[in-house]
Amino acid sequence: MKKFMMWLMVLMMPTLMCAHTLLLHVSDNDDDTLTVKGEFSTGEGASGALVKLQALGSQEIVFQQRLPDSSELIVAIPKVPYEVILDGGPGHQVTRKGIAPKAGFEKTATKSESAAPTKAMSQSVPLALSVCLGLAFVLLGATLFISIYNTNRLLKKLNAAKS
Amino acid sequence: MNEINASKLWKQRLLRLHVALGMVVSLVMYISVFFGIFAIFLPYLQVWEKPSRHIERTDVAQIDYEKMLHQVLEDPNFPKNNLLITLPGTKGETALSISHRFSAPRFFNPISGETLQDEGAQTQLASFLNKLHYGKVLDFDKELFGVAFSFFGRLLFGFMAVGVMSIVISGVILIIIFSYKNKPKTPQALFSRLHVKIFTWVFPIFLLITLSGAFMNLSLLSSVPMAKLASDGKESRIDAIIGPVLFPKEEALIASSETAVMLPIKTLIAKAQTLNPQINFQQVKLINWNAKNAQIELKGYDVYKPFLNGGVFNKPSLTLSAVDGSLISEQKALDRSWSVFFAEATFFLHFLAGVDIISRTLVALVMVASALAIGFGVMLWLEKQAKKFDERIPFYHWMAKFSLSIMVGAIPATGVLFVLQWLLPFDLADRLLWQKGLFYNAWLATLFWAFYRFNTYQAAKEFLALGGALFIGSVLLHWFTLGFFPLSAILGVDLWLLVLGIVLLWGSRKLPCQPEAVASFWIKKEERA
Repeated sequence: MKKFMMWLMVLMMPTLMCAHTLLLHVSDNDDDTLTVKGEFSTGEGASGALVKLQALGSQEIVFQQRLPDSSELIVAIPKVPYEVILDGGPGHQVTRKGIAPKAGFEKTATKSESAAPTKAMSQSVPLALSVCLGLAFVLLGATLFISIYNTNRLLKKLNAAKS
Repeated sequence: MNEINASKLWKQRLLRLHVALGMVVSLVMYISVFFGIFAIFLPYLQVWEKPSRHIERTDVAQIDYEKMLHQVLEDPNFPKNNLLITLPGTKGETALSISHRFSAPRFFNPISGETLQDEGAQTQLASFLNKLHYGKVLDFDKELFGVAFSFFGRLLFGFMAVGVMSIVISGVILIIIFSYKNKPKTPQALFSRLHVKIFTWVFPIFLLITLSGAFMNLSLLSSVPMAKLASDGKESRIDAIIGPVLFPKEEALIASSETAVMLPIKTLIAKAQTLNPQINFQQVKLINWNAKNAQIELKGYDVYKPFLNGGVFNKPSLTLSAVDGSLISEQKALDRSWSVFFAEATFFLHFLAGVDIISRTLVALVMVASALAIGFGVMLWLEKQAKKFDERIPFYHWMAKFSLSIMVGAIPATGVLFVLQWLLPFDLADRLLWQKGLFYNAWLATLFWAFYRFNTYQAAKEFLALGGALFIGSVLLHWFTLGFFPLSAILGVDLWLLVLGIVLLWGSRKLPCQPEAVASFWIKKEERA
């Protein structure tokens, strides 16, 4: 039965299968260090992937190192609030919220610390998109107009021919 | 009598089902087939579109790999172990790339060893044409809007492929039960005959390719429940279950602390080629390079076993010691399990991995014939509709205009895409977005023009002429921008586009414009008599 299911699974396999899912595991070692482990959903290790600890707010990279052959890394917990990023190359990033040290974080991230612009601010609509969408609406409107205009002309012609 | 009526009714219903389903999916299918023709030549187009790839091809056994490898190893931010060298010639690529699973590749001129300034996301013409083929049409951003629409597109194209399979099967039954032997005396009869005749010849290949397309686009949907079912609810990701079968886990080899002198990579490639001359090597993996236990893994495509290897899941390989060139392990094309062969064969039908230009051209010609057959099917339906309208006014039907824009309007719109490739500066911000946006607008403009012209044939004539001029123009712009590249795949694409442009101009010249000339264009006078 299991073999049959495996066959069926291969049959149902998505295209996305070609790229395995990258997984990030973060665990507290209870000694102000944490273990970062990277692996693929298939169980294969992710040695070579870049691990980054990024401070929240200031966006400063407080630690970065590639995973060794064991795919595991022990890192000292930063004193500031942070997030753990596993960078698997362009388009493949996994992020986890950072675990706090035993004594807690020294200070919390505030909005005033933010050096980088917020997501909403940095994501302005590109000029190309605005122009092309605007043009598309104009063309769509023009198509509707010409369709109605030509239909009316034909109806008039038909009525004239009938009368 | 009742039996005769029942049989007649069944035939009538089958025909109506075929027509109704055909009209629902024909335009989407045509889009997929039309852009699929370009996607067949994707390896050549992606070299043509990038100025950095306009370099001569070279023999992989003559490249000084170490010159480029040292440049990468000197970069402190680049991973050092398990580096992947993709050899020139792989998927039509002219450059050599050194990459790592977790790092963006670096491209080199294999002859001079110089780093190439890859255009990256600034030019993705071939990739965009491929995405249009499978319905990933609106992926202009990575946020919800783009992701949702690209998912919807793939879903739509997937269901369309399923619909097409039903149409093909019902079509084959119709061909068997109906007689299509009479000589056509009207354009309507001719369209019917052409639609039937072309598909009678090409339907097996068309059906196989559509089947694999449906499999690729729709299987994503079914993967989550299947994964849950097979793992008793433990896994929702299908790759966690079948990944170990398709991609066996590679045991990490711990690097020796002792260093050693490595054999030149070209020597190791030559050695591997001697050990297995059937494999066309595509990628080299350097494991623990410069250590005493360093290995080189060479993967490729066994050209004598098409369908079963060389694509995504099954790549025959040889692993040699990088110190003395001795063989450590070998995996032949037929060493994997049948489930892997099944997956590989399905993907092969669509990706044509390792297939040469002649075979690609043959598949493209089958697709051109299929596109024409779909077009004749739609024209047949429109001819039937035209009879319902008053003859004192021109036939002005939304479906005729919409079909014209989708099917013929796609030609000048694609021509715009090719012209913009060389007209837009490569350092323009959001270059790809401009290119895509203007392409969609050009396509939309053809819809406007189709509705503007009462005479559909005249609009079609103009679209063909414009398309021809644009394709020829794109080649001239290419030569003007980057010069002429004799005896190369790049020149091959130029010639292909030139021929396409000339054929379109010729088609435009031949196509009639006046209503009285239309009937005599399709059916000669003596035949009509």
